[in-house]
Amino acid sequence: MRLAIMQPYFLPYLGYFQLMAAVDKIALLDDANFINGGWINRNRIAVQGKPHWLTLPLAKASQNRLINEIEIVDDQLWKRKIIRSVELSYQSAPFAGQVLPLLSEILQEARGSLSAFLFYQLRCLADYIGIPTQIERTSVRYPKDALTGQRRILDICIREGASTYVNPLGGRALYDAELFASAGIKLLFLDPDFSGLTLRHGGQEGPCLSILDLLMFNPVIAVREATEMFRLSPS
Amino acid sequence: MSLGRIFSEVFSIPEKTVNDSLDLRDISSWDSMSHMMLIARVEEAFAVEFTGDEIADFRTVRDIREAVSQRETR
Repeated sequence: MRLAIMQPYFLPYLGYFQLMAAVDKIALLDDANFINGGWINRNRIAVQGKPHWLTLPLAKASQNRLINEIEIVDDQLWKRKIIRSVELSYQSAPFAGQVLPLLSEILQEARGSLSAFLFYQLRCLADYIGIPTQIERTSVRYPKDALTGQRRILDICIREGASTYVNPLGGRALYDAELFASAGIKLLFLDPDFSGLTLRHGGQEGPCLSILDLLMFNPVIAVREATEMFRLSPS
Repeated sequence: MSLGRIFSEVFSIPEKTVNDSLDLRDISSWDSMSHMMLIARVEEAFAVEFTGDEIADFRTVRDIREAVSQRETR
Protein backbone atom coordinates (compact mmCIF):
# COMPACT_ATOMS: atom_id res chain seq x y z
CA MET A 1 0.00 0.00 0.00
CA ARG A 2 1.32 3.41 -0.97
CA LEU A 3 0.94 6.18 1.59
CA ALA A 4 1.53 9.94 1.53
CA ILE A 5 1.41 12.32 4.47
CA MET A 6 0.97 16.05 3.95
CA GLN A 7 -0.40 19.12 5.71
CA PRO A 8 -3.90 19.87 4.46
CA TYR A 9 -4.11 22.73 1.96
CA PHE A 10 -7.14 24.86 1.07
CA LEU A 11 -8.25 24.42 -2.58
CA PRO A 12 -4.73 23.27 -3.44
CA TYR A 13 -2.90 23.36 -6.74
CA LEU A 14 -2.53 20.51 -9.19
CA GLY A 15 0.64 19.16 -7.56
CA TYR A 16 -1.26 18.33 -4.38
CA PHE A 17 -3.70 16.19 -6.34
CA GLN A 18 -0.82 14.51 -8.13
CA LEU A 19 0.49 13.39 -4.76
CA MET A 20 -2.98 12.18 -3.88
CA ALA A 21 -3.29 10.30 -7.18
CA ALA A 22 0.08 8.64 -6.64
CA VAL A 23 -0.99 6.82 -3.48
CA ASP A 24 -3.68 4.57 -2.08
CA LYS A 25 -4.08 6.68 1.03
CA ILE A 26 -3.11 10.19 2.08
CA ALA A 27 -2.95 11.17 5.74
CA LEU A 28 -3.54 14.85 6.37
CA LEU A 29 -0.99 15.99 8.93
CA ASP A 30 -3.38 18.13 10.92
CA ASP A 31 -1.64 17.79 14.28
CA ALA A 32 1.30 19.79 12.99
CA ASN A 33 1.66 23.48 13.76
CA PHE A 34 -0.36 25.92 11.70
CA ILE A 35 1.76 27.88 9.22
CA ASN A 36 1.13 31.60 8.92
CA GLY A 37 1.50 32.71 5.33
CA GLY A 38 1.27 29.15 4.08
CA TRP A 39 -1.35 27.36 2.02
CA ILE A 40 -3.43 25.80 4.79
CA ASN A 41 -6.17 28.42 4.79
CA ARG A 42 -5.71 30.23 1.51
CA ASN A 43 -5.00 29.86 -2.15
CA ARG A 44 -5.10 31.88 -5.31
CA ILE A 45 -7.29 32.17 -8.36
CA ALA A 46 -6.83 34.43 -11.38
CA VAL A 47 -8.66 37.73 -11.57
CA GLN A 48 -8.13 39.35 -14.96
CA GLY A 49 -5.04 37.22 -15.36
CA LYS A 50 -3.51 38.21 -12.05
CA PRO A 51 -3.35 36.16 -8.85
CA HIS A 52 -6.01 36.91 -6.26
CA TRP A 53 -6.13 35.38 -2.79
CA LEU A 54 -9.09 33.41 -1.44
CA THR A 55 -8.66 33.21 2.33
CA LEU A 56 -10.52 31.28 5.00
CA PRO A 57 -10.91 33.61 8.01
CA LEU A 58 -9.70 31.87 11.15
CA ALA A 59 -10.21 32.49 14.85
CA LYS A 60 -7.02 32.76 16.88
CA ALA A 61 -4.77 31.19 14.27
CA SER A 62 -1.16 31.07 15.34
CA GLN A 63 1.99 29.14 14.55
CA ASN A 64 1.93 28.04 18.20
CA ARG A 65 -1.29 26.12 17.68
CA LEU A 66 -1.92 22.89 15.86
CA ILE A 67 -4.01 22.90 12.72
CA ASN A 68 -6.67 20.76 14.38
CA GLU A 69 -6.99 23.27 17.24
CA ILE A 70 -8.03 26.11 14.98
CA GLU A 71 -11.57 27.16 14.12
CA ILE A 72 -13.01 28.86 11.07
CA VAL A 73 -14.88 32.10 11.59
CA ASP A 74 -18.55 31.18 11.28
CA ASP A 75 -19.99 33.93 9.16
CA GLN A 76 -21.89 33.82 5.88
CA LEU A 77 -20.50 37.13 4.63
CA TRP A 78 -16.99 35.94 3.77
CA LYS A 79 -18.40 32.87 2.04
CA ARG A 80 -20.62 35.04 -0.14
CA LYS A 81 -17.64 37.27 -0.93
CA ILE A 82 -15.52 34.32 -2.02
CA ILE A 83 -18.27 32.87 -4.17
CA ARG A 84 -18.99 36.28 -5.72
CA SER A 85 -15.30 36.84 -6.39
CA VAL A 86 -14.98 33.46 -8.14
CA GLU A 87 -18.22 34.01 -10.06
CA LEU A 88 -17.05 37.35 -11.41
CA SER A 89 -13.60 36.05 -12.27
CA TYR A 90 -14.76 32.95 -14.11
CA GLN A 91 -18.21 33.90 -15.43
CA SER A 92 -17.18 33.14 -19.00
CA ALA A 93 -15.14 30.03 -18.19
CA PRO A 94 -16.59 26.96 -19.97
CA PHE A 95 -16.99 24.83 -16.85
CA ALA A 96 -18.14 27.50 -14.40
CA GLY A 97 -21.60 25.94 -14.41
CA GLN A 98 -20.22 22.81 -12.83
CA VAL A 99 -17.48 24.23 -10.63
CA LEU A 100 -19.39 27.08 -8.97
CA PRO A 101 -22.02 24.76 -7.44
CA LEU A 102 -19.19 22.53 -6.21
CA LEU A 103 -17.49 25.51 -4.55
CA SER A 104 -20.77 26.63 -2.96
CA GLU A 105 -21.35 23.14 -1.61
CA ILE A 106 -17.83 23.05 -0.20
CA LEU A 107 -18.03 26.46 1.45
CA GLN A 108 -21.38 25.67 3.06
CA GLU A 109 -19.43 23.30 5.31
CA ALA A 110 -16.77 25.89 6.18
CA ARG A 111 -17.47 26.32 9.88
CA GLY A 112 -16.11 24.94 13.12
CA SER A 113 -12.95 22.87 12.89
CA LEU A 114 -10.50 24.00 10.22
CA SER A 115 -9.09 20.50 10.02
CA ALA A 116 -12.47 18.84 9.53
CA PHE A 117 -13.33 21.33 6.82
CA LEU A 118 -10.04 20.88 4.99
CA PHE A 119 -10.59 17.13 5.06
CA TYR A 120 -14.10 17.63 3.65
CA GLN A 121 -13.08 19.96 0.82
CA LEU A 122 -10.22 17.68 -0.25
CA ARG A 123 -12.62 14.73 -0.31
CA CYS A 124 -15.12 16.73 -2.39
CA LEU A 125 -12.48 17.89 -4.85
CA ALA A 126 -10.88 14.45 -5.15
CA ASP A 127 -14.29 12.89 -5.81
CA TYR A 128 -15.09 15.53 -8.41
CA ILE A 129 -11.79 14.96 -10.20
CA GLY A 130 -12.13 11.19 -9.90
CA ILE A 131 -9.31 10.37 -7.49
CA PRO A 132 -10.39 7.45 -5.31
CA THR A 133 -7.54 7.76 -2.80
CA GLN A 134 -8.52 7.28 0.83
CA ILE A 135 -8.05 10.34 3.03
CA GLU A 136 -7.40 10.26 6.78
CA ARG A 137 -6.52 12.85 9.39
CA THR A 138 -3.49 12.11 11.53
CA SER A 139 -5.07 13.66 14.64
CA VAL A 140 -7.98 11.25 14.40
CA ARG A 141 -6.16 8.05 13.55
CA TYR A 142 -2.55 8.13 14.68
CA PRO A 143 -1.50 9.04 18.24
CA LYS A 144 1.32 11.55 18.06
CA ASP A 145 3.22 10.50 21.18
CA ALA A 146 6.49 12.40 21.28
CA LEU A 147 7.54 11.60 17.75
CA THR A 148 8.54 14.33 15.31
CA GLY A 149 9.87 14.65 11.78
CA GLN A 150 10.59 11.49 9.85
CA ARG A 151 10.20 9.34 13.00
CA ARG A 152 6.54 10.35 13.11
CA ILE A 153 6.13 9.70 9.40
CA LEU A 154 7.73 6.28 9.76
CA ASP A 155 5.52 5.46 12.73
CA ILE A 156 2.39 6.26 10.71
CA CYS A 157 3.67 4.18 7.79
CA ILE A 158 4.20 1.21 10.11
CA ARG A 159 0.78 1.59 11.76
CA GLU A 160 -0.79 1.65 8.29
CA GLY A 161 1.21 -1.31 7.03
CA ALA A 162 2.44 0.85 4.16
CA SER A 163 4.87 -0.77 1.73
CA THR A 164 5.80 2.58 0.14
CA TYR A 165 5.90 6.16 1.36
CA VAL A 166 5.60 8.88 -1.30
CA ASN A 167 6.68 12.48 -0.67
CA PRO A 168 7.20 15.47 -2.96
CA LEU A 169 10.75 15.53 -4.26
CA GLY A 170 11.46 18.83 -2.52
CA GLY A 171 11.52 17.02 0.82
CA ARG A 172 14.05 14.34 -0.16
CA ALA A 173 16.78 15.68 2.11
CA LEU A 174 14.51 15.25 5.13
CA TYR A 175 14.32 11.49 4.79
CA ASP A 176 16.78 8.70 5.53
CA ALA A 177 16.08 5.91 3.04
CA GLU A 178 17.98 3.38 5.16
CA LEU A 179 15.78 4.09 8.16
CA PHE A 180 12.68 3.42 6.09
CA ALA A 181 14.26 0.38 4.41
CA SER A 182 15.04 -1.11 7.81
CA ALA A 183 11.28 -1.03 8.47
CA GLY A 184 10.58 -2.61 5.09
CA ILE A 185 9.22 0.62 3.61
CA LYS A 186 10.26 1.94 0.23
CA LEU A 187 10.68 5.68 -0.21
CA LEU A 188 9.58 7.29 -3.46
CA PHE A 189 9.71 10.96 -4.41
CA LEU A 190 7.22 12.65 -6.68
CA ASP A 191 8.35 15.14 -9.29
CA PRO A 192 5.49 16.82 -11.18
CA ASP A 193 6.02 16.93 -14.92
CA PHE A 194 4.19 19.96 -16.25
CA SER A 195 6.23 20.08 -19.47
CA GLY A 196 3.56 18.37 -21.57
CA LEU A 197 0.66 20.09 -19.88
CA THR A 198 -1.82 21.48 -22.41
CA LEU A 199 -4.50 22.58 -19.97
CA ARG A 200 -5.99 26.05 -20.27
CA HIS A 201 -5.68 28.33 -17.28
CA GLY A 202 -6.64 31.83 -16.29
CA GLY A 203 -3.35 33.31 -15.19
CA GLN A 204 0.34 33.51 -15.93
CA GLU A 205 1.13 31.04 -13.17
CA GLY A 206 -0.32 28.10 -15.04
CA PRO A 207 -0.92 25.09 -12.85
CA CYS A 208 0.30 26.85 -9.68
CA LEU A 209 -3.02 28.53 -9.03
CA SER A 210 -5.74 26.70 -7.12
CA ILE A 211 -7.12 23.62 -8.87
CA LEU A 212 -10.33 25.65 -9.19
CA ASP A 213 -8.71 27.58 -12.00
CA LEU A 214 -7.93 24.46 -14.05
CA LEU A 215 -11.36 22.98 -13.35
CA MET A 216 -13.02 26.15 -14.66
CA PHE A 217 -11.26 25.98 -18.01
CA ASN A 218 -10.85 22.27 -18.71
CA PRO A 219 -12.97 19.12 -18.83
CA VAL A 220 -12.59 17.27 -15.57
CA ILE A 221 -11.22 14.24 -17.42
CA ALA A 222 -8.34 16.39 -18.71
CA VAL A 223 -7.58 17.56 -15.16
CA ARG A 224 -7.72 13.96 -13.99
CA GLU A 225 -5.19 13.01 -16.67
CA ALA A 226 -2.94 15.86 -15.53
CA THR A 227 -2.92 14.45 -12.01
CA GLU A 228 -1.03 11.47 -13.46
CA MET A 229 1.70 13.60 -15.06
CA PHE A 230 4.54 13.03 -12.65
CA ARG A 231 7.65 10.95 -12.17
CA LEU A 232 8.33 8.80 -9.14
CA SER A 233 11.93 8.21 -8.27
CA PRO A 234 13.64 6.32 -5.45
CA SER A 235 15.91 8.13 -3.06
CA MET B 1 9.38 38.06 -13.14
CA SER B 2 12.32 38.06 -10.73
CA LEU B 3 13.36 35.15 -8.54
CA GLY B 4 12.81 37.32 -5.49
CA ARG B 5 9.25 38.04 -6.55
CA ILE B 6 8.51 34.34 -7.04
CA PHE B 7 9.90 33.50 -3.59
CA SER B 8 7.88 36.32 -2.13
CA GLU B 9 4.66 35.04 -3.71
CA VAL B 10 5.14 31.34 -2.97
CA PHE B 11 6.24 31.77 0.64
CA SER B 12 4.50 35.04 1.51
CA ILE B 13 7.69 36.74 2.59
CA PRO B 14 8.76 40.32 1.79
CA GLU B 15 10.71 40.41 -1.45
CA LYS B 16 13.43 42.48 0.23
CA THR B 17 14.19 39.56 2.58
CA VAL B 18 15.01 37.27 -0.34
CA ASN B 19 18.77 37.14 -0.74
CA ASP B 20 21.18 34.58 -2.12
CA SER B 21 22.07 33.10 1.26
CA LEU B 22 18.46 32.55 2.29
CA ASP B 23 18.00 28.86 3.13
CA LEU B 24 14.66 27.53 1.97
CA ARG B 25 14.15 25.50 5.12
CA ASP B 26 14.56 28.60 7.25
CA ILE B 27 11.37 29.97 5.69
CA SER B 28 8.54 29.15 8.08
CA SER B 29 6.06 28.54 5.27
CA TRP B 30 8.38 26.14 3.43
CA ASP B 31 7.35 22.52 3.11
CA SER B 32 8.01 19.88 0.49
CA MET B 33 4.80 20.75 -1.38
CA SER B 34 5.49 24.49 -1.51
CA HIS B 35 9.04 23.64 -2.62
CA MET B 36 7.55 21.95 -5.68
CA MET B 37 5.29 24.92 -6.33
CA LEU B 38 8.35 27.17 -6.21
CA ILE B 39 10.14 24.95 -8.72
CA ALA B 40 7.15 24.96 -11.07
CA ARG B 41 6.96 28.76 -10.90
CA VAL B 42 10.69 29.19 -11.57
CA GLU B 43 10.66 26.69 -14.44
CA GLU B 44 7.69 28.46 -15.99
CA ALA B 45 9.03 31.98 -15.49
CA PHE B 46 12.52 31.28 -16.83
CA ALA B 47 11.59 28.57 -19.36
CA VAL B 48 14.00 26.08 -17.80
CA GLU B 49 13.70 22.55 -16.50
CA PHE B 50 15.68 21.24 -13.55
CA THR B 51 16.77 17.67 -12.96
CA GLY B 52 15.32 15.67 -10.11
CA ASP B 53 18.58 15.77 -8.18
CA GLU B 54 18.79 19.54 -8.55
CA ILE B 55 15.24 19.99 -7.30
CA ALA B 56 15.91 17.79 -4.29
CA ASP B 57 19.25 19.44 -3.51
CA PHE B 58 18.26 23.11 -3.79
CA ARG B 59 18.86 24.62 -0.37
CA THR B 60 19.35 28.32 -0.97
CA VAL B 61 18.21 31.07 -3.29
CA ARG B 62 21.75 31.06 -4.68
CA ASP B 63 21.46 27.39 -5.66
CA ILE B 64 18.39 28.14 -7.74
CA ARG B 65 19.75 31.37 -9.20
CA GLU B 66 22.93 29.62 -10.32
CA ALA B 67 21.02 26.71 -11.85
CA VAL B 68 18.87 29.15 -13.83
CA SER B 69 21.94 31.13 -14.93
CA GLN B 70 23.74 27.99 -16.12
CA ARG B 71 20.85 27.18 -18.41
CA GLU B 72 20.52 30.73 -19.69
CA THR B 73 24.16 30.82 -20.75
CA ARG B 74 24.05 27.50 -22.59
